Amino acid sequence: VTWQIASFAVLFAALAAGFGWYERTHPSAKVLALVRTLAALAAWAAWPSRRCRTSSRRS
Amino acid sequence: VIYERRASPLHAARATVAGAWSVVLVFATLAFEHPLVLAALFLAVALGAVGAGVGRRVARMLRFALPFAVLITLVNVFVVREGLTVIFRVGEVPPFGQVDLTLESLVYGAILGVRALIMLLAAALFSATVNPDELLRVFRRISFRSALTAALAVRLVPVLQRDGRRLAEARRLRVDEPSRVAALRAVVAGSLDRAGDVAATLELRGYRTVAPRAASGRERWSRHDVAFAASALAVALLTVGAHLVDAGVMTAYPSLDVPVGRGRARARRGAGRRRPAAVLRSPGGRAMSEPILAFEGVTYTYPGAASPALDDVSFALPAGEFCVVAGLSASGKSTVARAAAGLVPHFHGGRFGGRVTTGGLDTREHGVADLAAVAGTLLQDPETQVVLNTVRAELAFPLENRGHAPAAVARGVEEVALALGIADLLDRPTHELSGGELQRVALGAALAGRPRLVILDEPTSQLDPVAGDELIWLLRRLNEEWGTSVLLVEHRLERCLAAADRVLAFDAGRLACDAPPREFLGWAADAAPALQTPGARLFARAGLRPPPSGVKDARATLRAHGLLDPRPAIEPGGGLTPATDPGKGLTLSAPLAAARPARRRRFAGARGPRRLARASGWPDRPARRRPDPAAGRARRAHGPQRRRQVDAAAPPGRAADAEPRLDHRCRAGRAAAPAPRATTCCTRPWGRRRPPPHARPPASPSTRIVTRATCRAARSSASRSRSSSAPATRAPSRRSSASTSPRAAWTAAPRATSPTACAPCRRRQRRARRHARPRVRRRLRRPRRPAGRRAPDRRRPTADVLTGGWYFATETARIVEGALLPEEGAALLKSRLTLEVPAP
Repeated sequence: VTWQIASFAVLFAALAAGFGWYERTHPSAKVLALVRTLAALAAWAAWPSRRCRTSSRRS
Repeated sequence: VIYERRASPLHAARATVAGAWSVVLVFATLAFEHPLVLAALFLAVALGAVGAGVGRRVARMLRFALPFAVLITLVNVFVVREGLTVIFRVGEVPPFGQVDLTLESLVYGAILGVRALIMLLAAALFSATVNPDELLRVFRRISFRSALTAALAVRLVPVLQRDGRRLAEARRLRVDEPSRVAALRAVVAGSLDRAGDVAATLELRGYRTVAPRAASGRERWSRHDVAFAASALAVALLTVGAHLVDAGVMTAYPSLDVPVGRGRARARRGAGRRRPAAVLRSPGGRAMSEPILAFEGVTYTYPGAASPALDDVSFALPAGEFCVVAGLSASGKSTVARAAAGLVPHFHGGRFGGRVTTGGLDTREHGVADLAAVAGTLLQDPETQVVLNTVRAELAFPLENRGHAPAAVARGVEEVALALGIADLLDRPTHELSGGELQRVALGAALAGRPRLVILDEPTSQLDPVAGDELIWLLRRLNEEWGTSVLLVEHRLERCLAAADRVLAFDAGRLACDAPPREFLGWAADAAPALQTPGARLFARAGLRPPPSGVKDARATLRAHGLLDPRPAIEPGGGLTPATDPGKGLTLSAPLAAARPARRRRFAGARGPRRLARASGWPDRPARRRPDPAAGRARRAHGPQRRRQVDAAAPPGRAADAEPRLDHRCRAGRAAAPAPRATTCCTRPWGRRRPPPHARPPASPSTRIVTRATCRAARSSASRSRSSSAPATRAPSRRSSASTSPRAAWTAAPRATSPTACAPCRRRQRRARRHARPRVRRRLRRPRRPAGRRAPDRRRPTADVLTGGWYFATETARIVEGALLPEEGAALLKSRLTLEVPAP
């Protein structure tokens, strides 16, 4: 087992455990909204272009 | 890259098929290393993107993917020490030993980079062409909560992007410009703060009541479905087959031997899926006399609050009644609505005493989702009440949560969309909608289950005047034609009193008045003058009685008193003469016609050199090169979607007061298009390097508060403001009501000091990239659009707009033509009383 496969296995195990916990525990609407916000913040932070655009391409 | 529906085969295919097509391309990229196969896959992705009309959007991903691919290539060269052809000998690097860069590792790194690039492009194609709501609806049958969370997160990402832009603009408008970290922190805090409202909305939409029922019928496959499914299947089979016969394999390292085992992924189906046992049905067949809503000695205190928000409140709302809840800020109006919806105390916590019965259900025993089946609720911020990505999914969400069959869901969505006039919005992404459209969609979601009671908390706070009036009369129609009871919390009483059957007025958490509109106005004249409508104030100043509940009522009363003729024949000088304003073609009464030139002279005298001209003109959002058909129709009907507050002009000394009004009027004048952001100009006095404080806060109430320092400034300013004393003890936040938050933001934005001139977009120019500055200057000098495209009243003085037009006329102007304020109208009526009107 190479370290790549091991790291992917750990990652998928963590994701599967989190998924199982999330589906089984019946999270309240508040928890669901919080997870949604954190996920969206992560996606937003990782998004490549968040700079103000300064070009004037439209007439 | 965000999904937008376009007219293309890939968009027309069902989400699962379109998604599978993109995913198969990704897996094929993972499976093959041969450059020719990778080139074919790249070509397939590119052709797919171009054919779907999202080529430019997918190509935008190249800006991120190309550096990423180069990075992978370089990392592989330095990390992997395989290969035989050494192109550079680095030497001994402890603890790695001898490091040699080989040609094989460079080539293989390039292959890895190309694979990453193709996968990123395929992912961009996926997100641009696959409707996330439709796809996640399928997954909701398997993993309800995870798929729902993903759908909610997808909806939030464009909102966060927009908030980030607005906060960046707000940051630049502050005197002490906060750091980027502060703005970033504000975005994060705002989104976390908004999560509470979203959670409340989820409960109001029936979350946790019933998991969506599995579809009973299957939709027929279209030719696009079949074509893309066959294509995906063919690519998948080719990939597997090639892998079995070791075709398409490239050996970059001569000595490389990678044993690859074939695992078998098992789908976890149904893990943790639970379905609530019972479907809540709304109790039907109740007698109309039974109250749909009853408060019995309700006392409620928010967690951590010293005084109760509601203090021994008792009232009963019979079924079929249209009830308006009035009161000053922090009087408990919103708490009444939240208690009726069950959010108090289930969602907010706190100390609750007494009993609230909604639709026959005791709110102490039934949760918010249960109560949502009998009472649809619409809160004041539409941004947090629309939780999914498309309008159709949003309207279907409450019905699916209540376990309706797919056919019933589809029918309910179409019906409510037609009833609210949002049928043309059904396939639009929700992040593109304006505030008014969002509010109508949120109302549609609240009404989708055909509740017996509709609870609305300041629903018109973010709507333009006409949209607000339309919403009120839509509620009246629901009330009259369907017997839907309405509990409407509203502080712009002139909009809704004419439609109301009853008014509940609150003062410091206590029910101060419970009466029909006319009696309420009589009570307000003595006990709470701030709650008087402009029409009632006009009548009180003119000494007329009874106070009118609406414009029609007021005009009828004035006609009865002989003060309002359809077309008054007025003779000049002593007599009265018809006076027509040639600019508007409106017939004005003589005293106003005499007064109007004076007002204009005052404007003309102060005109001089303009200090604020071309207040905006900056494109803060890139153009969509290929607009979708719906956006194209809207653009043809209403003009370009951006920057329509351009060319506001104000004379010296009046800039701070006049400009925001003009801006607001111009913006709202195109109600059907998304509202542009209003913070694209900066002012500074001539000769000073640092811009002075600007008088205008950002457009969105949710992004006005940038830093904690701003919060403190708002609090201290609000405490000095005569009308903001009540909320001054609270930090302005999203939890503030619609009436307190903008006021706090206004006080937080320091007013311009004299003399202030305007240098439009100077700071933008300075911040612009150097090569872009000439283009920016040319753009600012260029006329924005032909004069014929302008709103007809854009360049007229504010008073003319507010008194003369159909769109923005105040209630006073609608009662007495031409008068702007109740005081002016009263003076006009008094003067008419003293004039001798000749008999017709």
